[in-house]
Amino acid sequence: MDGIFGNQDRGGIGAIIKIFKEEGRKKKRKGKKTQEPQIPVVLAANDPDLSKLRPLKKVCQLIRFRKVRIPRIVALLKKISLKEQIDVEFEALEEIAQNSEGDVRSAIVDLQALSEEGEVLRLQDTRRLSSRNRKLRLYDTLRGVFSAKSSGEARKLLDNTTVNYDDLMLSVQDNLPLRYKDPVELAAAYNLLSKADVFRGRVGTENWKLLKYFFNLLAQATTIKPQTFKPFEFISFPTRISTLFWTRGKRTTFKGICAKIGAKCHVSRRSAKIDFIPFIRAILKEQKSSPICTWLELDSKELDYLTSMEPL
Amino acid sequence: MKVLNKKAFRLPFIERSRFVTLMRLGLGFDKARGVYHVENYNEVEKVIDIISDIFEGEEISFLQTCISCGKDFACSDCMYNVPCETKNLPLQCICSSCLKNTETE
Repeated sequence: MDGIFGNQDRGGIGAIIKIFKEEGRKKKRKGKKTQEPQIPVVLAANDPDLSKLRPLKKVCQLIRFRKVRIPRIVALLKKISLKEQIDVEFEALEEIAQNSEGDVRSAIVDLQALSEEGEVLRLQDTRRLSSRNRKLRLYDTLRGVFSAKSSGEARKLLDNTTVNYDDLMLSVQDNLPLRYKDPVELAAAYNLLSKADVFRGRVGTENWKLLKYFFNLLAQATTIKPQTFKPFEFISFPTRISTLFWTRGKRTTFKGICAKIGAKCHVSRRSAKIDFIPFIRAILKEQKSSPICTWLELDSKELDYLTSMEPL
Repeated sequence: MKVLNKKAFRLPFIERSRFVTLMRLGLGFDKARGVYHVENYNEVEKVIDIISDIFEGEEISFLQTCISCGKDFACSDCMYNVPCETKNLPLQCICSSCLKNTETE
């Protein structure tokens, strides 16, 4: 499902949701109370946390598939090698399973590739296998960088992350006070993070050669004292972005008020916000039905907002 | 390290907001017995982090269920404990004795 992209697939997710809802309605008409579709539909996605899949998640039941564990892969490879009559050492199967990093398909492909060459597959044959690069999501990245034993280990993890750099930095910023309880350590971590922020700004959209400094500083900020790490409740989504999302309605109302004041008083919205709003609030505090409100054409919602808002 | 059974485990008294978070993340609570159990496995890593925080940073591990013999066993008994990336999560696995017997899957 995460392949839905661009103009060609526009409306695709909406159409799928519509199908679900129509099926649900049919079922309801037949006397069943549930909104589930009559025919089960299985949708597969690599990253269910993508924002474009959010509406779809509301009408689906999410089942997360995790990496398959080494003993299960070993057992499966053993079964395959028995059926295919491949002579293989148990240790070689273990090595293939470990190298696959929980990916059954990789393990089977590796077994096939290695078994084709020799008659008996031994442990030394598996040394030709190269390690695989796996991409990490936000939660895994945070967990990895904060629990890393050294800044080098954290740096390696940052190389494999798929998270937007700005979101990653905001998330690290949110989690630092939870990680470091000692103010001295916290100050050192924030100092490094601020330097990382400087480099992120310098990288911009073209100086990608500076990205390594951003990653290095971010890795150092998360591993000030690796030996003191204790698991904690991570804030995985940046609070700044979620706060902006939840306050969007309020900000729109405020912008509208500033625009009205600006139009009437022939000033900019910024000037209306700084020079006019505090005085209008003071007037409204004294007399809510002041004639100035009628002149500024403020509606009741905007009046309520002005009276209840916190001072600028 | 604290080893918990996913079917029923006890936690010390926790504040309301934390209880609500745990329920949202997929834990269930049996009021009559006063025990928690894992209902939904989608966010189980976050559940472990919160439980670890409740036990003041102590490492938390859940018992695994063997898909072959149905026995519960701890991750510390497994020889792949170190490289395993999903260790301690309350999932299904294969116990070492079943793995030794070839015809497991």
